[in-house]
Amino acid sequence: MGKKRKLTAVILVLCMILSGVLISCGNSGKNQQQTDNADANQTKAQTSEETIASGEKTKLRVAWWGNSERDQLMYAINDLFMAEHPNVEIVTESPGWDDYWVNQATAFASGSAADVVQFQSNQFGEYASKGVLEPLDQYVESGIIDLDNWNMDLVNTGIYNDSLYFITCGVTAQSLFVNEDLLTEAGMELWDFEEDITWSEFEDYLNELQSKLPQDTYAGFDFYANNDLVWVWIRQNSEDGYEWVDGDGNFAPSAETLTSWFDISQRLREERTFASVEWTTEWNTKAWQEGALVSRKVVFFFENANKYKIYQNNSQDNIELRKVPLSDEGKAGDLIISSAWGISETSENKELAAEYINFFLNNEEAQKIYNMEIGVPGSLTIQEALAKTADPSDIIAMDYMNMVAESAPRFIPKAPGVWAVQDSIKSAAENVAYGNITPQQAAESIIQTANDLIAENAE
Amino acid sequence: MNRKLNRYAGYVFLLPWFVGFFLLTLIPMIISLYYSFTNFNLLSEPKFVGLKNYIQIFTSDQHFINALTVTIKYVFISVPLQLLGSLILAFILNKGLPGLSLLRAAFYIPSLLGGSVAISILWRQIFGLEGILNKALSAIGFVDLAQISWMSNPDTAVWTLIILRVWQFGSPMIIFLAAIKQIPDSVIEASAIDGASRFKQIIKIMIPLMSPILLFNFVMQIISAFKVFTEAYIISGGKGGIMDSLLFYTLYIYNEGFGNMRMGYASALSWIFVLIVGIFTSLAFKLSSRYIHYN
Repeated sequence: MGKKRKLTAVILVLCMILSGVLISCGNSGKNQQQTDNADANQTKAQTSEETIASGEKTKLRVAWWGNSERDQLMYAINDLFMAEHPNVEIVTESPGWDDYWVNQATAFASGSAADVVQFQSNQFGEYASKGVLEPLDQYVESGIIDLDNWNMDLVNTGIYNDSLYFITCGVTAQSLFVNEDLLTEAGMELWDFEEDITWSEFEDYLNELQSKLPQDTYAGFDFYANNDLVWVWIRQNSEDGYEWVDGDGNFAPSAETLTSWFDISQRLREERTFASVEWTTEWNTKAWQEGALVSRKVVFFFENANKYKIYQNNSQDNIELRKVPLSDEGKAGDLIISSAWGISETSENKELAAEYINFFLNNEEAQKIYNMEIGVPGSLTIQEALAKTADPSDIIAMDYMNMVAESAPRFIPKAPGVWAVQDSIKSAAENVAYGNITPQQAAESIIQTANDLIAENAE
Repeated sequence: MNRKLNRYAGYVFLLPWFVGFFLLTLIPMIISLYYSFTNFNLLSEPKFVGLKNYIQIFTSDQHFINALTVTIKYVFISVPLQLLGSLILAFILNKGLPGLSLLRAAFYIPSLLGGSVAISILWRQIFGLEGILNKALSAIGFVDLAQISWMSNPDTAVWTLIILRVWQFGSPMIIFLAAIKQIPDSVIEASAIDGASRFKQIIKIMIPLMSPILLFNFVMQIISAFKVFTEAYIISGGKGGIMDSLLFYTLYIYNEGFGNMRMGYASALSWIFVLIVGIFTSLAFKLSSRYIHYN
């Protein structure tokens, strides 16, 4: 090989290495900046102001869990915000629900989380306890985020350890969707919207209904894998204020409570009022529009109330909404599920992020576009404005949420580690269904797993 | 000057690989080894907990046992079946059949498509409760069988993925085909003169001569099978299926690390996985001295 060629090859290789080194140095420099203290943030804020003054656009990153329809609504709202803030460019991140939390975990771990991030109340404790979020109290006090004429019970769902970290953009709760046409065809009547029914009464009702249904149609969709309903069950059978952890910091739900949760599903499967676990697993993988309720495979289906409109609009039948049954002692356990906006602690545009949140939640035009997509808004002003033009299904969902909010026990965010327990609950339920373990054994293993997770997070 | 340049040129050409290996493989591996002794949850600083993660894995984690069982079952059934199928096809395609190049391309297509997201979704449509397979079974009178949800039944779920892997026989088939072509014609002719049947030629001559390629394919497919993730994730909805029937080890690591934010625990699982794969690979090479013929 000629001397010139060798030299050329060596120079090319060195250039390759140098460019790689320069890129990694650039990234580590950026990471180092993100770990600086408030003085550095102050410097960055000043830089942002200079950027605005110079006419360049400030980028605001907003992350939410999306789907094709919801993304379009968000883009329209973002366009409205940018029209009022011509110096701002919104950069969006909207993975689907299944990937969203993995994305957020890695983004926060690497210090690259979006400025404005959407959270769900199951994860409030996980993130608020780790110091990765900006407290929002100062923005409320200064008036950047206006909470006048808001339902304060819903505002308080965003408080963790006495600081406000999340502002709700929609609340929902577990509810019972009923295919009333199928019910009528079976010759049964549905109880009234505001009427309560206990779990025992509900179980008897379902068994009676099953005897009147055609083959391959079930009175109810098995809820052993319902991660939202299990917490309602737990709250119905727990001491108020100690649903997740007891006074000693241990997992609060008793073995008896968890055993009874597995028992009810098991009984209904044995009665063939619920389908087999394989059947349920299969139908659980389908999209809402093709699910068991819309496909007339089941009559009763537990789901979050904010999805009522989607189910009704995709069904040929009339779908009714009813409350989750009470415990046999008459106790409600409804858990408000809040989807909320938070600001990441590493954001370089915190004030702008707060302005965006205020705009999103209080701007009437923006909320008309969003139209209760993720639940009932916390602002009573917005609720009144939407009620004038809302879809009838949304009005029903709003009425339902207002009804439930009155009777629901006080919202308490889950302690860190508790959220991860629900996979163990589902896994245990499957083993119970297959007879591998008894409900009592399942309950004990969940309590052990939960205490390990809580202890791990407390270290 | 020439000699000096020659001496250093080799190192310089190796440098990009070394840099990549250190920055993207070795250093992250060392960091993950450290994390495996901590309770790192992605959002807080890692806190040293000693062997706690490893002790928990080996003494009280049923999911670990389930994931290992599913993965080993998958690897040691699908890989031999895949290699057997690709070997047989390679021998068939080695003959002078009409349209041979078209056939080779057609058999290679599944390997191109691989275990992608689209194929995994397609597999759900085939093996689901109302999938094509059950419709076909029902049409030919096997009504009871047609009631089985092949993917949701814990006894059959992993077999749907084994079939998916075996279906991707094209890649090892091409390598076997190349190996067959390397066998000298004179050896085959000599055996024919000595009265060896076609079957005996394959078993006693061709396969022993191809044994280094067999080992290569076996090791590569074993490693690839241990790493399977996309198919398990899509088909099980990311949670490992009913009763962990599709909880492949890599999926379990992913769920623990990113789903439950237990990165320390997931790191410990990963290192155990490295050891297990290393043991199996070493065993394969150890046994090769007896069964592999290099001359």
